[in-house]
Amino acid sequence: MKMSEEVVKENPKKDETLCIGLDVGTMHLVCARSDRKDVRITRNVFLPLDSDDIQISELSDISYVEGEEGELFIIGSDAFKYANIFGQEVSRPMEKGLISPKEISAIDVLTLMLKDLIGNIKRRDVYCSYSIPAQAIDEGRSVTYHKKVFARILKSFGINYTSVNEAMAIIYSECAQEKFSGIGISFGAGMANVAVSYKGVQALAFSTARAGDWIDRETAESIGMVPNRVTSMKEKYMKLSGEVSIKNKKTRRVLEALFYHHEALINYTVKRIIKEFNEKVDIEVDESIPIVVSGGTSMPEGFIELFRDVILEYDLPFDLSEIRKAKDPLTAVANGLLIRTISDVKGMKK
Amino acid sequence: MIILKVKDKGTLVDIPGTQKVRSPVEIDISKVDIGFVTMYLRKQGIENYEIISVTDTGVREVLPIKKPGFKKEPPKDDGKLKANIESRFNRLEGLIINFLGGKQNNQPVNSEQITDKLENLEKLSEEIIRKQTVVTSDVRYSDEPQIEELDDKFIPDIDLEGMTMKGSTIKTVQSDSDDADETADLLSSIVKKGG
Repeated sequence: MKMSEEVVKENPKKDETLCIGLDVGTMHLVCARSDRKDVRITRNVFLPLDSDDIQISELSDISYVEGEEGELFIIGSDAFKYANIFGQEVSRPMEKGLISPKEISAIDVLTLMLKDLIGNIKRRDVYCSYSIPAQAIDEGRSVTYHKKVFARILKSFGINYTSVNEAMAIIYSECAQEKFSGIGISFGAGMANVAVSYKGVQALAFSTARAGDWIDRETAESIGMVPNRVTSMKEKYMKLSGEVSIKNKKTRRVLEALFYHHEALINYTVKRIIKEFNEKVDIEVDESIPIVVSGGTSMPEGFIELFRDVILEYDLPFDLSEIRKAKDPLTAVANGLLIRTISDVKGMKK
Repeated sequence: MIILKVKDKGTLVDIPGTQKVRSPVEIDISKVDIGFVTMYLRKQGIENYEIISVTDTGVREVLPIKKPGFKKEPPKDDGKLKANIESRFNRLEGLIINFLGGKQNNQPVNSEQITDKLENLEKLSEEIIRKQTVVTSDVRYSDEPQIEELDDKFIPDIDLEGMTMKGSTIKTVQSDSDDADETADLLSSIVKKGG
């Protein structure tokens, strides 16, 4: 980010209240601000390096964090490039949708990345909704620690914060025409988050620990590759519809395995939606509702068609009006969170 | 088991998933989302109610219902912040002395470093002056609020002392979303109407 660019883009409103939607994802950090028309995104990865491996002078075009004792962390998408050069796996501040317990430096590096992402908030009264996953139904890790760590980070910036379910944010962003009734599904990297909303009120929310990373891991295992490489091939070539035009046999094998695991992921998630809906939603939803699919894992071409083919094979416990993709699957959650923040802040001021 | 107790007399209580009944009444709402129940109660103008948790042994406990909204509370560790500022002033003083003294020791010091430190100090000072932190707006129905508060002790403090970031990997995309302000107004009106 160039500072001059930021100054130009910021809307110099005299109103001192600033609302923010902050999507804290396993793969991406996304920020929407009420004073900007654009949404800011960065990769949520870093690469710790020994100062013996590299000189700071070699990092002139690279974004990095330098620790007090000379530790170096290459951050964002540059971390992927250097991981390949040094033959290392990138470090992830988050794992399966939650703060990673493995990474000691994760919180400090993440804090600096978030500070950079949020941008200038000086002399503003700032309110922020940040995304949290719902409790996973297939894994025991609690969301509480994750939620409180991000609360502390935002507090350290002097920001007023609240946490909002990630899938509900999709409803706020994408279901205004249905008066905020619908099912929001976020297929992220670490988790799939699902929320059932009726007129803006959450009727059911849950998550599963199977999403994009699960696809990469399972594919890598079945093909005998490292997950990093599968992620890179998925982002470069993956199409879930039409003919695969890649001639290289190994790449074709990877893409076939990826297709199979995408289908398996959708089947798994749909089965869980039906089960949870039947067991926990004890209300009559008297109108048909849409399903809105979002998240980075839903981005490959043909994902929504595959999702539609899979879900229509099931007997659903609700009337479905439509299955559609979020307008921008990468920014839908941040936009929804911004909408929720503005709504809350206006409510407070009345 | 979770029970809804409506105390007012003669009100028709209509919660989806339960039978319509007239109050005063106690209804088993274990299978209904509590957010939904409170939304419908508000919609019907019922304010005098309690949500009660009943254990297998019959012990009843009224669950606290928090209203949503950002709240502000005074910071807990002013002293720590002040000590932090003092130590930063000392470091800054050292940097300035080095800078003016033509780098008497071998540590490279430049004006950018001093500017960064000054900015950090300004932010910390603002934080003390503002004297505000915020609690979440979540509507919580927890039987164990004390445990939630204890958890805070185990959340690591954010200390970026000595850490610097160079460059940025941020990309920007134009938002496709409709006007967030208008959508927020619609959300407020629908949730208010529904609840």
